[in-house]
Amino acid sequence: MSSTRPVEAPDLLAISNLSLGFSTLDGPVRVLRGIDLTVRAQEKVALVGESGSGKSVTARAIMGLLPERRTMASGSIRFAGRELLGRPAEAEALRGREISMIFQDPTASLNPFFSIRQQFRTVIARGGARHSAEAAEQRMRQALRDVSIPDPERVLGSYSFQLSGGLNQRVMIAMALVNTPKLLIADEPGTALDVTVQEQTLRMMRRLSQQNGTAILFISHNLGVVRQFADRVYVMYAGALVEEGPVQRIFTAPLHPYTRALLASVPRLARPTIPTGIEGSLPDRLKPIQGCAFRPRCSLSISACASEVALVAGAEGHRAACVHVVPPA
Amino acid sequence: MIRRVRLANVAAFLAARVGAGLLVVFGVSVLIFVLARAMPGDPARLALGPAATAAQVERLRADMGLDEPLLYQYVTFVAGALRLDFGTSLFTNRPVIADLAYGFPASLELALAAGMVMTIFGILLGAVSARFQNRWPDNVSRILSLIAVAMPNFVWALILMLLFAYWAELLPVSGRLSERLQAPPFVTGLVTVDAVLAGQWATLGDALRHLALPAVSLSLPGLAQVARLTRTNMVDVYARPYTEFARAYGFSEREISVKWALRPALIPTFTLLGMQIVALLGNAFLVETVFAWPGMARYGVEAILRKDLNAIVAVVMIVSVAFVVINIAIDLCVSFIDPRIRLQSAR
Amino acid sequence: MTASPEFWRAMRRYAQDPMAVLGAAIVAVLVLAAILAEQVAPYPAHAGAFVDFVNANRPPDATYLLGTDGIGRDVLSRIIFGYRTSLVLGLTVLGIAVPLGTAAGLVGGYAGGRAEAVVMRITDVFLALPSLVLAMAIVGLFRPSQILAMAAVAAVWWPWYARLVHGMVRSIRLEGYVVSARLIGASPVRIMVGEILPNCAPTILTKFSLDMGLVILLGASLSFLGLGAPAPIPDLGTMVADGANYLPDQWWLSVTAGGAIFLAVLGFNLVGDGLRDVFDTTG
Repeated sequence: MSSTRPVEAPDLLAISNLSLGFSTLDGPVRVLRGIDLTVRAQEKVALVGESGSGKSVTARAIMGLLPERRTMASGSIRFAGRELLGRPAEAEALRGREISMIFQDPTASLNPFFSIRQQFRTVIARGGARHSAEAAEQRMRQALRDVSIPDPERVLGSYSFQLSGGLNQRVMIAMALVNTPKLLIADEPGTALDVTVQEQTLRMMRRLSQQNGTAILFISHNLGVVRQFADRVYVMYAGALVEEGPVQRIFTAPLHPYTRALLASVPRLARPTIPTGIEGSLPDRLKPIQGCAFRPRCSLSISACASEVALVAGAEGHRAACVHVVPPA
Repeated sequence: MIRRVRLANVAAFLAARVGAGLLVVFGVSVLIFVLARAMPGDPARLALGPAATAAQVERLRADMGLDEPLLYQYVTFVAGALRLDFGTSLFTNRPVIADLAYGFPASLELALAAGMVMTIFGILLGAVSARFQNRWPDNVSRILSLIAVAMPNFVWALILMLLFAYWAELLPVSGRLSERLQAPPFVTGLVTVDAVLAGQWATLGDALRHLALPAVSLSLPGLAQVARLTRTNMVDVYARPYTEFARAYGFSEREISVKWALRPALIPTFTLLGMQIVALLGNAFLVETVFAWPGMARYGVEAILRKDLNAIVAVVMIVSVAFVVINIAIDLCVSFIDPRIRLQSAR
Repeated sequence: MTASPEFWRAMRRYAQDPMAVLGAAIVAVLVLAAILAEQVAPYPAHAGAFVDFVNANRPPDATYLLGTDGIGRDVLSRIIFGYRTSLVLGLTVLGIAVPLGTAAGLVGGYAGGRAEAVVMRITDVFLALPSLVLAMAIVGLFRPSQILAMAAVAAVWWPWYARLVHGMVRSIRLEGYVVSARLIGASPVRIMVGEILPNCAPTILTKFSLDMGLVILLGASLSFLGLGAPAPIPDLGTMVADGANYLPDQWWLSVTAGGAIFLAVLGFNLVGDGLRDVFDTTG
């Protein structure tokens, strides 16, 4: 859709070999196992997987929002060349300015004890530039009009619990983009809302980020949405990437059995059959994973799947971690 | 327009609370009346002692209305209580209300001081704990809280007395004011406030020195509970999506801990503060006894030990009214800091 | 008796919390000492009406580890027997208050309507007075004795359980398994005891442990004011009060007895906190 931009744009976000674990009362849990992921400037990248696959943790690791003391991490997260992993001050300096985030449940994400105005004003102040109260007010109203809110004055004076989920979603988008960040992380935006509202807000988010030149890392379990939205897709399973590639390749020629299963489970109006879900469940996170994590649920599994499987490069930047993938000659 | 809606909400909310409070006071009056009448032995005989003649006892029984039917006695009791007439103390032979009027301001002063120490330092300690969760400030504050909660109030009182009054000789052992000083002119009955109003700074200093140990020992267990509660609530708020949102948008951690996370956490703390204040009123009976504080609670303890029926009933009624008033005040505070109560009509 | 895997998992989690383990150790030592008081107390005879003026008011030393009181009785021995008094009080009070309050809460919460209103208004009245004041009034109006003190504390304690259980019943009575039990025609008693009660059990157990400490504290407060067990019976609260008369010279009398109360309350609190953490996270 928006492949007019040069693919060679510099890496805005570069995650390499990111592994992450939490210590819990039941013992250590490995959540991410060697993630490599890049987002170029102004690019729209989707990160897809079932809930529990580690998508949201990846987002929070980038933002530096994970509890430091219980988290064990290795690898690297670079934003515009600066290392963020293990440097909470660096991440904090970027939050709300260079990177911002949209959350799954907008109503729960806005503080119900403070008016929208009180929260929005703090967001604007975070942008750095000094604004007079009057100028800040103008910016807030304009930002709300930009997300098609016709009566900003009423919304600013309200509390989140007085507004609909869709309205809260727009408020959050306005807050996320008001300081023109370079990267917007959208963690399953609008999953808590109904489908039409979700559609609207996604379109709004795309339009505004395009205007501002903001790159988007879009996290979702919904492949249908991803297809319309993203330039490139990463597919995640049990804390590791199993496939990555341009959006058309992923949808037309998926390589990994898990991706295929995910695609098969997308409901379509044009298809008479009820989509098949994926049999089985994610592996126990307390137990170490040997070889391909998808093996127990995979109909194609062979003995080679029990040993470590690396990402194999296919055509057009398409890669997948499956023993059945044959690299092009 | 909006303002009027808000006030209407708050008024409806308040009316419901006052109604519930009246019901509680009514229930307490029945309970204490039944208890007082179920008491074994003849209160008139008890008051007059074994030396009194049967005729004297009979006369006092008639005076006290003990020969009337129970329902009549109850109605008389309530009618009197509404006029603050709780009868005569069987021990001091003065109207109970006169005895109480003397002790009440002293108790109020102590309870207010302890309540303020408890609330302010409890919330502060809890908030610090939550912000530095599982790090040393948290561990120190949690250990202090554990100790403060588990140590009985009267033991705190005795230990503090031993340390600061007897050994270090920094503070007076007991009483409300040194004997060489005259109490300031009566305005509120709170010696500290009256001293300020009269501009008697030396008296104020002396009163504060007398107040320090009783107030601190009275506040400690409640303070620890408030701290624990605030910590729990705040840890809960820290885990909410809106706190993550605040962090993701670059709100500073300091600002989150004093504003964005503190206010939501204070609401459950405030609603349970009522409980803590009730416990504090109860513990005042112990602390006033230890420090010979001339208050209503010590009077109550003496009344109980002397089986001074009317005085016991009066003290219990006043404590229950205090409970209701305090809880309504707290609810009012909560309704002003919680927009959900202020803005949503009662469902 | 085969315990479920969840039980062992809960125990493992409990064992990983050092404070909770410390609490369990304190409670175990105190309970054992109280049961075996005759065997472990250095001078068991000192628990009763014993007088030895020669050795009166001795500060702690090797013979009398915690010193002696005004009439020459060994403080440590009296503390050990005092624990017996305290623990008996705690168990008796909760033995009465917990079933009573639980039953009231179950009935009120499950039946709803008028029964609920009556139960809740009654608990409101009891909770509007500090437990100490109400218990004092009850004991004071009658005659101070150990039995009466227990009855009075139980009388002020049951409403807490009624409230707690009521709240839980309200939140689970519309859960699927309760509704389906009702649909297949199980009797209300059976549903309450068989379906609802097991779900309340962890919370009740946690509160039970925390309350053992609080009841011991309340009992000690009563006897501190002279409303507890009468004279020769060793009672920690009475010991603190007696010791207070000898302040500041024989300071160890109050401080050791007070410390003994503190230790017991601390132990039960730690166990209660530990249990709450375990149950909270296991669901």
